Amino acid sequence: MNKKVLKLNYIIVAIFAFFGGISRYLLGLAVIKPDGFPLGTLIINLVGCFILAFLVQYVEVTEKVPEWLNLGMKTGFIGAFTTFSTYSLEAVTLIETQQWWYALIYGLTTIVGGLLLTLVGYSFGNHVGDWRKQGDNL
Amino acid sequence: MMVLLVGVGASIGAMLRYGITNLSNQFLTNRFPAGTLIINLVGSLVLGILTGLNLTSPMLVLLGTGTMGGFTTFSTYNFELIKLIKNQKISLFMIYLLASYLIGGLMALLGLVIGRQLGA
Repeated sequence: MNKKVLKLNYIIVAIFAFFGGISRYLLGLAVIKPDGFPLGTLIINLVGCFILAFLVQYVEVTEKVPEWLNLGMKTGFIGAFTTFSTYSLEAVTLIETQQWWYALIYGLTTIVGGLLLTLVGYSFGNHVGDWRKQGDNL
Repeated sequence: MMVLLVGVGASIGAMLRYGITNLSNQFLTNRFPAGTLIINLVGSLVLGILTGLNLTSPMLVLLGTGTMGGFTTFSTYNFELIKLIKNQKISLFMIYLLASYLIGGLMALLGLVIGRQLGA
């Protein structure tokens, strides 16, 4: 990759991440935290897993998405939309405040849910990509 | 105003993540996603420090919610986990899973302790 393209890539990542971060912030504010349970981050991270896996597979099957858009959406938008640091901090805070059940539920739903929604997104991306391709070939 | 701070912070964080991922792809073998692991562990530590420091709200939103939120990533991490399963690298999958969640939690805790000491 030459230097000019690489520089442009950073700008693309930054622009898309700007909106990914804002979306995370606004969604986090909109979702109520029942009794202090960090439901916002959980929803954000699980939705993000689905979308990322969907995009990866959709792009691979259809081969129709331009490289800059691909980079922007995956590394920029979804990468900044989901967050690992907030999850770690929230999980540790639940343990620190001795909300054991919440800590356990938060940990398990995040770990299992993240893997599960990645698989589901992957499979959806495959199917939708196939349909799209077949539609184009008609 | 807060919304803009988050956006700017997330842009900076994501560019850092992109740079580190590029570097790690250059220097490390492709077998283990060390780049994302380092990013998520360092990010957990720094967010812990920032939170413990008792910063003003705009500062915490810019650096914590924005930059560290945009720097670390959950979606790529899970995608890499699934890729390891698909390639039947089960022990690497277990190592990556446990290292991220356990050390990530410890890093956040360590950060909180450091931040509270510094902020006190």
